[in-house]
Amino acid sequence: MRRSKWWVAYVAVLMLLTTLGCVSGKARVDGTVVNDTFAAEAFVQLKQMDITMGVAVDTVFQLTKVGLVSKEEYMRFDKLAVRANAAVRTARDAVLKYVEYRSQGLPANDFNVYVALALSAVEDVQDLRALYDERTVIQ
Amino acid sequence: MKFTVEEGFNIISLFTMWVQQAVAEGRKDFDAEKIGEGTRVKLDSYREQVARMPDSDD
Repeated sequence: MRRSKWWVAYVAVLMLLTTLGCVSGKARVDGTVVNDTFAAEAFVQLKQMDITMGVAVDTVFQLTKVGLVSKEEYMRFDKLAVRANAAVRTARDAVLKYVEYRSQGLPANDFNVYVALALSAVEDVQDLRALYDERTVIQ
Repeated sequence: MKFTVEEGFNIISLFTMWVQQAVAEGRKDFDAEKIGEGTRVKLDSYREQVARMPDSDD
Protein backbone atom coordinates (compact mmCIF):
# COMPACT_ATOMS: atom_id res chain seq x y z
CA MET A 1 0.00 0.00 0.00
CA ARG A 2 1.33 3.42 -0.92
CA ARG A 3 1.25 6.04 1.74
CA SER A 4 1.00 9.76 1.37
CA LYS A 5 2.25 11.61 4.42
CA TRP A 6 0.85 14.87 3.14
CA TRP A 7 -2.66 13.50 2.89
CA VAL A 8 -2.47 12.01 6.36
CA ALA A 9 -1.18 15.32 7.79
CA TYR A 10 -3.87 17.25 5.91
CA VAL A 11 -6.67 15.04 7.23
CA ALA A 12 -5.20 15.11 10.75
CA VAL A 13 -5.15 18.93 10.76
CA LEU A 14 -8.72 19.02 9.44
CA MET A 15 -9.83 16.64 12.20
CA LEU A 16 -8.11 18.72 14.85
CA LEU A 17 -9.60 21.98 13.59
CA THR A 18 -13.08 20.45 13.32
CA THR A 19 -12.85 19.07 16.84
CA LEU A 20 -11.57 22.33 18.28
CA GLY A 21 -14.24 24.29 16.45
CA CYS A 22 -17.08 22.09 17.60
CA VAL A 23 -16.15 21.56 21.22
CA SER A 24 -16.75 25.17 22.28
CA GLY A 25 -19.81 25.21 24.52
CA LYS A 26 -22.93 27.22 23.81
CA ALA A 27 -25.71 28.33 26.12
CA ARG A 28 -29.25 29.37 25.25
CA VAL A 29 -31.57 31.71 27.06
CA ASP A 30 -35.19 31.47 25.89
CA GLY A 31 -34.02 29.54 22.85
CA THR A 32 -31.52 32.23 21.81
CA VAL A 33 -27.82 31.43 21.82
CA VAL A 34 -26.02 33.79 24.21
CA ASN A 35 -23.72 35.99 22.19
CA ASP A 36 -22.06 37.73 25.10
CA THR A 37 -18.72 35.95 25.50
CA PHE A 38 -18.40 36.48 29.24
CA ALA A 39 -21.94 35.32 29.95
CA ALA A 40 -21.61 32.31 27.64
CA GLU A 41 -18.37 31.28 29.34
CA ALA A 42 -19.95 31.72 32.75
CA PHE A 43 -22.91 29.56 31.75
CA VAL A 44 -20.63 26.83 30.39
CA GLN A 45 -18.60 26.96 33.60
CA LEU A 46 -21.75 26.73 35.72
CA LYS A 47 -23.08 23.88 33.61
CA GLN A 48 -19.83 21.98 34.14
CA MET A 49 -20.06 22.64 37.89
CA ASP A 50 -23.62 21.32 37.87
CA ILE A 51 -22.54 18.15 36.03
CA THR A 52 -19.70 17.68 38.53
CA MET A 53 -22.16 18.14 41.38
CA GLY A 54 -24.58 15.63 39.84
CA VAL A 55 -21.84 13.00 39.56
CA ALA A 56 -20.73 13.64 43.16
CA VAL A 57 -24.31 13.33 44.45
CA ASP A 58 -24.86 10.10 42.48
CA THR A 59 -21.60 8.63 43.77
CA VAL A 60 -22.22 9.42 47.43
CA PHE A 61 -25.80 8.15 47.16
CA GLN A 62 -24.56 4.86 45.68
CA LEU A 63 -21.94 4.58 48.45
CA THR A 64 -24.73 5.12 50.98
CA LYS A 65 -26.83 2.39 49.38
CA VAL A 66 -24.01 -0.13 49.69
CA GLY A 67 -23.27 0.94 53.26
CA LEU A 68 -19.90 2.61 52.72
CA VAL A 69 -21.38 5.95 53.77
CA SER A 70 -23.71 6.09 56.74
CA LYS A 71 -27.14 7.66 56.66
CA GLU A 72 -25.98 10.46 58.97
CA GLU A 73 -22.97 11.13 56.79
CA TYR A 74 -25.18 11.30 53.73
CA MET A 75 -27.42 13.83 55.44
CA ARG A 76 -24.37 15.98 56.29
CA PHE A 77 -23.22 15.67 52.67
CA ASP A 78 -26.73 16.56 51.52
CA LYS A 79 -26.69 19.82 53.49
CA LEU A 80 -23.38 20.77 51.89
CA ALA A 81 -24.62 19.76 48.43
CA VAL A 82 -27.85 21.74 48.86
CA ARG A 83 -25.81 24.85 49.72
CA ALA A 84 -23.54 24.29 46.71
CA ASN A 85 -26.55 23.76 44.44
CA ALA A 86 -28.11 26.98 45.75
CA ALA A 87 -24.81 28.80 45.05
CA VAL A 88 -24.80 27.48 41.47
CA ARG A 89 -28.40 28.62 40.94
CA THR A 90 -27.70 32.02 42.49
CA ALA A 91 -24.74 32.45 40.13
CA ARG A 92 -26.92 31.32 37.21
CA ASP A 93 -29.55 33.93 38.12
CA ALA A 94 -26.85 36.59 38.37
CA VAL A 95 -25.62 35.77 34.87
CA LEU A 96 -29.21 35.73 33.56
CA LYS A 97 -29.69 39.22 35.03
CA TYR A 98 -26.42 40.27 33.41
CA VAL A 99 -27.65 39.04 30.01
CA GLU A 100 -30.99 40.80 30.51
CA TYR A 101 -29.37 44.11 31.49
CA ARG A 102 -26.91 43.92 28.62
CA SER A 103 -29.73 43.29 26.13
CA GLN A 104 -31.50 46.41 27.42
CA GLY A 105 -28.35 48.50 27.28
CA LEU A 106 -28.32 48.90 31.06
CA PRO A 107 -25.13 48.74 33.12
CA ALA A 108 -24.51 45.08 33.91
CA ASN A 109 -24.01 43.74 37.40
CA ASP A 110 -20.88 41.85 38.35
CA PHE A 111 -21.69 38.13 38.22
CA ASN A 112 -18.13 36.89 38.60
CA VAL A 113 -18.34 37.03 42.40
CA TYR A 114 -21.31 34.66 42.39
CA VAL A 115 -19.64 32.29 39.94
CA ALA A 116 -16.51 32.20 42.14
CA LEU A 117 -18.64 31.49 45.23
CA ALA A 118 -20.44 28.68 43.40
CA LEU A 119 -17.14 27.17 42.31
CA SER A 120 -15.86 27.24 45.88
CA ALA A 121 -19.05 25.54 47.16
CA VAL A 122 -18.86 22.83 44.48
CA GLU A 123 -15.21 22.20 45.34
CA ASP A 124 -16.25 21.58 48.97
CA VAL A 125 -18.72 18.96 47.77
CA GLN A 126 -16.03 17.38 45.59
CA ASP A 127 -13.64 17.23 48.57
CA LEU A 128 -16.20 15.37 50.67
CA ARG A 129 -17.01 13.03 47.79
CA ALA A 130 -13.28 12.29 47.39
CA LEU A 131 -13.08 11.54 51.10
CA TYR A 132 -15.92 9.02 50.82
CA ASP A 133 -14.48 7.60 47.60
CA GLU A 134 -11.35 6.61 49.51
CA ARG A 135 -13.46 4.09 51.40
CA THR A 136 -14.05 2.12 48.24
CA VAL A 137 -10.27 1.77 47.89
CA ILE A 138 -9.89 0.70 51.53
CA GLN A 139 -12.69 -1.84 51.13
CA MET B 1 -0.31 12.32 -5.03
CA LYS B 2 -1.40 8.73 -5.29
CA PHE B 3 -2.99 6.41 -2.82
CA THR B 4 -5.03 3.26 -3.11
CA VAL B 5 -8.84 3.14 -3.06
CA GLU B 6 -8.67 1.26 0.22
CA GLU B 7 -6.48 3.95 1.78
CA GLY B 8 -8.80 6.67 0.52
CA PHE B 9 -11.83 4.82 1.85
CA ASN B 10 -10.16 4.41 5.24
CA ILE B 11 -9.25 8.08 5.42
CA ILE B 12 -12.76 9.17 4.52
CA SER B 13 -14.33 6.74 7.02
CA LEU B 14 -12.00 7.91 9.76
CA PHE B 15 -12.64 11.54 8.95
CA THR B 16 -16.42 11.01 8.91
CA MET B 17 -16.19 9.31 12.28
CA TRP B 18 -14.19 12.17 13.73
CA VAL B 19 -16.59 14.76 12.37
CA GLN B 20 -19.56 12.89 13.86
CA GLN B 21 -17.80 12.67 17.20
CA ALA B 22 -16.83 16.34 17.10
CA VAL B 23 -20.35 17.41 16.17
CA ALA B 24 -21.77 15.28 18.99
CA GLU B 25 -19.30 16.94 21.36
CA GLY B 26 -20.25 20.31 20.00
CA ARG B 27 -23.89 19.79 20.93
CA LYS B 28 -23.20 21.34 24.26
CA ASP B 29 -25.79 24.04 23.89
CA PHE B 30 -28.14 23.93 26.81
CA ASP B 31 -30.89 25.90 28.51
CA ALA B 32 -29.10 28.27 30.85
CA GLU B 33 -32.28 28.75 32.91
CA LYS B 34 -32.25 25.06 33.86
CA ILE B 35 -28.72 24.93 35.28
CA GLY B 36 -28.85 23.37 38.74
CA GLU B 37 -32.52 22.40 38.63
CA GLY B 38 -31.89 18.75 37.75
CA THR B 39 -29.42 18.40 40.61
CA ARG B 40 -31.89 20.00 43.01
CA VAL B 41 -34.57 17.46 42.06
CA LYS B 42 -32.03 14.65 42.37
CA LEU B 43 -30.96 15.84 45.82
CA ASP B 44 -34.59 15.94 47.01
CA SER B 45 -35.25 12.44 45.69
CA TYR B 46 -32.08 10.94 47.19
CA ARG B 47 -32.72 12.64 50.55
CA GLU B 48 -36.16 11.02 50.73
CA GLN B 49 -34.74 7.60 49.81
CA VAL B 50 -31.94 7.84 52.36
CA ALA B 51 -34.38 9.01 55.04
CA ARG B 52 -36.36 5.79 54.48
CA MET B 53 -33.26 3.64 54.94
CA PRO B 54 -32.81 1.92 58.31
CA ASP B 55 -30.57 3.79 60.76
CA SER B 56 -26.95 2.67 60.66
CA ASP B 57 -25.44 1.07 63.76
CA ASP B 58 -22.37 3.28 64.03
